Amino acid sequence: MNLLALAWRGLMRQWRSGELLLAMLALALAVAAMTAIGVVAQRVDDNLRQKAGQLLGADLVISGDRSLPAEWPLQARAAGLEVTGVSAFVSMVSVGEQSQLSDVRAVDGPFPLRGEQATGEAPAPGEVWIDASLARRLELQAGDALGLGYSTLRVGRVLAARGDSAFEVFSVAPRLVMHRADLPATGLIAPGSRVTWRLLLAGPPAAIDRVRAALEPQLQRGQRIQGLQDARPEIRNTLQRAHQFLALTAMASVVLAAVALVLAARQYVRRRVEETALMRSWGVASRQIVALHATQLLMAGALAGVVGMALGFGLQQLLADRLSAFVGESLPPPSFAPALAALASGLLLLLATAAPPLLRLRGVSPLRVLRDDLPALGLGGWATLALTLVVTAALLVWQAGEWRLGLFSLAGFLATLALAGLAGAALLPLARLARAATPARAGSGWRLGLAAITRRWRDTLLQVMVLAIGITALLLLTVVRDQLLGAWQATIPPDAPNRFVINLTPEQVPQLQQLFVERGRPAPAAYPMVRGRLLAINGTSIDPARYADENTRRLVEREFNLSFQRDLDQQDNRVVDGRWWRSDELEQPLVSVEQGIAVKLGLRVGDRLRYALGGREVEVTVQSIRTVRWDSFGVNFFVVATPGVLAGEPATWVSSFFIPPDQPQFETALVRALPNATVVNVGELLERIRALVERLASAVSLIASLTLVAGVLVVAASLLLSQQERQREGAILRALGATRSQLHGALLCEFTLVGAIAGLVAAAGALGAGWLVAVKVLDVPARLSLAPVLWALLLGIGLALAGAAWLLRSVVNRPPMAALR
Amino acid sequence: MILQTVGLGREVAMGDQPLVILDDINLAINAGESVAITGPSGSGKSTLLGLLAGLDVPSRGEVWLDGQSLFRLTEEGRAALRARAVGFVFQNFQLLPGLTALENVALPLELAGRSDAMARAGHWLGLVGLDARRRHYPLQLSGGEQQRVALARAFAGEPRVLFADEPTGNLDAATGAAVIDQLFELNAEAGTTLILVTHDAVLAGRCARRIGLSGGRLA
Repeated sequence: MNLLALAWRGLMRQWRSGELLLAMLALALAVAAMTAIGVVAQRVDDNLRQKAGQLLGADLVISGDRSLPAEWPLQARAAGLEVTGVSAFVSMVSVGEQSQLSDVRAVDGPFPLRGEQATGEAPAPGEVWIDASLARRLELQAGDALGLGYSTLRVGRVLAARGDSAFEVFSVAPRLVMHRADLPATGLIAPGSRVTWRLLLAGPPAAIDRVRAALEPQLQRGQRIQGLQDARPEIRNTLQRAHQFLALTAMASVVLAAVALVLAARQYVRRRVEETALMRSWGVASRQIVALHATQLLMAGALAGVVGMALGFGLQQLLADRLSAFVGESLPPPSFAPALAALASGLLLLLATAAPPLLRLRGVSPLRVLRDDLPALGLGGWATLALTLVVTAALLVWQAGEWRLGLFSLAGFLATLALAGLAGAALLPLARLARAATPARAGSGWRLGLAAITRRWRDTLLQVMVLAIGITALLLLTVVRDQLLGAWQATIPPDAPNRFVINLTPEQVPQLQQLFVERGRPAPAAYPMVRGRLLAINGTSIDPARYADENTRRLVEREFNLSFQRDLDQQDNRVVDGRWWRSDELEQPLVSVEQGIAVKLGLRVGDRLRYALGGREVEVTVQSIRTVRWDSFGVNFFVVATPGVLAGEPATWVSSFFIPPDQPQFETALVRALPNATVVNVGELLERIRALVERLASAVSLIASLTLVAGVLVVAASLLLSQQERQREGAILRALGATRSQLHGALLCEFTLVGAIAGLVAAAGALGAGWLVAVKVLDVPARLSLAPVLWALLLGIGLALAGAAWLLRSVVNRPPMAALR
Repeated sequence: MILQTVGLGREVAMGDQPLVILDDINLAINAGESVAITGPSGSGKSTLLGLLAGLDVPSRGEVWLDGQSLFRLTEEGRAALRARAVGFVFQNFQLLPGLTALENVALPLELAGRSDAMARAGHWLGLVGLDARRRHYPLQLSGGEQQRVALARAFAGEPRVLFADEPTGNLDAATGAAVIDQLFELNAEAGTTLILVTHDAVLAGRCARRIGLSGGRLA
C-alpha cells in the first residue's frame, strides 16, 4: 500500500470530521509561543552583542590600574588582532578662564576599534578629538586650542554624541581623545595618579577567544578582561529576567500542549480500535497499521507546526516592537534557527505523547470484529506519562535557558498534578455522601450532577487534573509577573532623588546647600568619598581566587568608595550587629560594613581590615554591620569609617536630590555655580526603566493570551473524551422526561464542583511555584497575596462552565433518538 | 384515542437526493390497545417509534399523543409530556452504568419530582423479581435482568403509553420469552397502551393489532 497517499487521505477525512483539530491547534500554539520567544531572544542577544562592541570600542578589552605587560600587545598582534593601548583618566580641560572635567583617553593606535565612531585612525600628536558636549561647554571648534595639564593641544575633530543608551548615563564626563605620545608633556601622569590602562583588541572571534584564553590566567590583581558577553551586566540581567519570564509563558503553553496532546492521542487511538480490528481481519499487518497512523499524526503535527511557526514569526515582530524601545533601536533581523528548533520541539512532544498509545494498536485482536465484549484496550498510560514527563522536562529546561527555572516549574506542575489527583479522588466519596444526604425531592439536577461525578469518576479526576494544570500555568504567569513588576517598581519610589552630583570639592558642599536653602528647599546631605583598596582581612592577604562568586571577586579586585560619617544616616541605614560609634570614638580606626558585602566577604564585628588609601595603608576594625536601603536612590556606601580614619585623605563629595521636572532653570543655576562638578540626570534613567516595565508587561500579556487559548483547548479536549457517553446519557434522560433545566442543573453542579476544586488546587500550585521562581530564580522578594486564589476559583469555574455550556449544546439540542441509536 | 398520526413523513439528506424513510403514515391507536409495528430491517419501524414518542422530529405530518400535538410543542414540552405519560423499553436496555438497579428505576420518578421515588422503585423491582439485586450495577446483571430493570423503570412512572423497541433483540430465546411474559403481564395489570416494534412474528402475534411497514409505508 502507498503509505503516504493513504495517510494523507486519512488525514483529510479526520480534518473534515474535526477530530484532530484541537490537538493540532494546541500544538500550533505551543510552537508559536516557542518560536516567538526564541526568535526575539536571539534578536535581543544579537543586538546586545553589537552594542556591547560599540560600548567597549573593541571585541575584547583588558584593563588594569597599573600599566599592562609590554608583551601582551605583541602577543595579540602575533595572533592577528588589531591592538590599541589606552591610558584613561579624568582631568580638567581649560580654555581661558573656563574649565571642564573631562574623561581623557590617551591612545597609541586607532580609536575606537569597534562601533560607529571607529574610523581606523588615531589623533595625530599635538591634536585632540573632543565630544560635542565638551565643545559646547567650552565653546570650542576644530582648530581651536585647549589646555590640558602643562600642554596646549589643538582640537582636530569634534565627535558626534555617543550612543544615548540609558545605561551609559553613568559615564559622566565628556570625552577627550589624544595621542599617547603627548602624555608625558602634560605632566598629568605621576606616581599615584589614578589612571586606567587598557588594551583594546579586535579581530576574528576565534583569534579573540585564543588570546583571551592565553591572557586570562596571567591576570593580576586589579586587572580584568571584558568581552562582548561580559558587557553591560545590568541591562543583561534585566533582559535575562524578562527573557526568563517570557520563557515561562512559553513553557506554560508547552505544558498545556502536552496535556492536550496526551488527551487527543488517547482519544485518537481509542477510536481507531475497531477500524484496526477490521483491517487486521482483512490481513493487514499490525506494523503497517501503526506506520499508517504514525505517518498521519506526523503529517498533522508538521502542518500544525508550520502554522505555529508562521504565527510565532508574526508574534515575535510584535514582541520585538515592544522590546526595541528598551534596547534603544530596532533589533537585528530575525533568524530561522529558533523557529526550526521550536518546530522540532513540537514534533518531539507529539511523538512522546502519541507513540505509547499508538504502539498499543499492535495488540488489537481481529476477534474484535466478532465480539464486542473484549476488554477495552490498554492505552499505555504509564509509558505515556513517563515519556511525556521526560520530554516536557527537557523542553522546559531548554526553554528556560537554565535548569533551575525549568525544573522548578516542572516541580510546580507535578505537585499540582499530584494535589489535583488527591483532591479529585477525595471528590468521589464526598459526592457520594452529599448525594446520600440530599432528599430525593431536593432538585434532581443537583443529585444528577453528583451522580455524574461518582459515575464517571475517572473522567472527573482527569478533568480536575487537566483543569488544575491549565490554571496553574496561567496563574503562575500572573503571580510571577506581579512579583516581577512589584520588585521593579519598588526600586523606583516616585519622590526618589533624580539627580546625582559628583566631584564636588569640600568647599563646594556649603555652596550647593546654600543654593537649595535660597530657594526655600531643604539642603541635601553630601558625603565625602575616598577611594581605597582592601588588602587584607584579619592579617590574611586578599586572594580574589578564594571567592567563588564573580561579583565578590570583582569587588575585591577594585577600589572601593569609602566614606566617613559622624552620625548614622537613619533614613536608609540600620545597624543589625555591633553598634555605631560614640562621639568619643570618632578618632579611632573603626568602620561599619553593609550586610550584603559583609556576608560575601565573610566579615563579622571585630574583624580587622587593611586598606590602601592613596600612598598609605591603614588597619581598621569592623564595629558594626548595617542594612542599607539601596532602592531609595540615595547616596549610600558599603563601608563607612570614622572621620579620624579618612579625614586626612583627599576626598571628593557626592550628593543626591530631587529636582522637579518643571524647574530646569534650577539645574542650570547649579551647573553654573559648580562648573567642575558633574550633575547626572538619573530621572531620565528612571523614566526609561518605568517605560521598560510597561513594555515588558504588555509583551508578557501578549504571550499569556496565547496560553489562555491553549488552556481553553485543553478543557475542550478533556470534555471530548466523555462527550459520546454524555450524549447517550443525556438522550436517555431526555427520553425519560428530564427537562432542560434539570440537565443544566446537573452539568452546572458537576462542573462547578470540578472547576472549584481544580481552581483551589491550581492556586496552591501556582503560589508555591511562583514563590520558588521569584525567590530562587528571578531573585526578587516573594509577595504573597490571596488575590490569585480568587482568580483561580473564578477561572476554574468559568472554564469548566464554558466547557459545560459547549457540551450542553450537543447533549440538549440533539433529538434524543440520534444519540440513542 | 391516545395516539394518532396524520401524513407523517421523515426524510434524511443523502448527498443531493433526499432519502425517504417514512412516507404518509396515518394511523390511530386507542387507549389500552396493544399494537405491534412489524416489518423487515430498514422498513422504518424504529424511526416511526422515535417519532411517535417525540424522540425525533418528522419532515412533515403530525403526531397527536394524549391529546397534544407533539410537534407544536417545544423539545422541552415534549420532554414534560414524556415524563408524564410515556415509558420506554429499548433493545439495548439503556440503563445508566453508574447507577444501581434501584437508582435506575427511581431516575424518571426523581426527574418528575416524586418524593416517593425510591419506595416506588423498590416496589417495582420487587414485581419484576429483582428485589435481591437492587444494589447491583447494570454491569453486574445479566441481559435478561437488565431488561427487567428496564421494564420496572418503564412501568414505575405509570405511563399511559409504553413504547418497546425490539425488547428481546439482545436476549436469547428463553430469556426473551420470560421478559415478554412479564411485559404483557405488567401491561395487563396496569392497562397501559403498548406499542411494540419487532420483526419477531411470534411476539407480534401476542399483540391485539399488527401494523405492517414496508419501504417506509404502511403495508
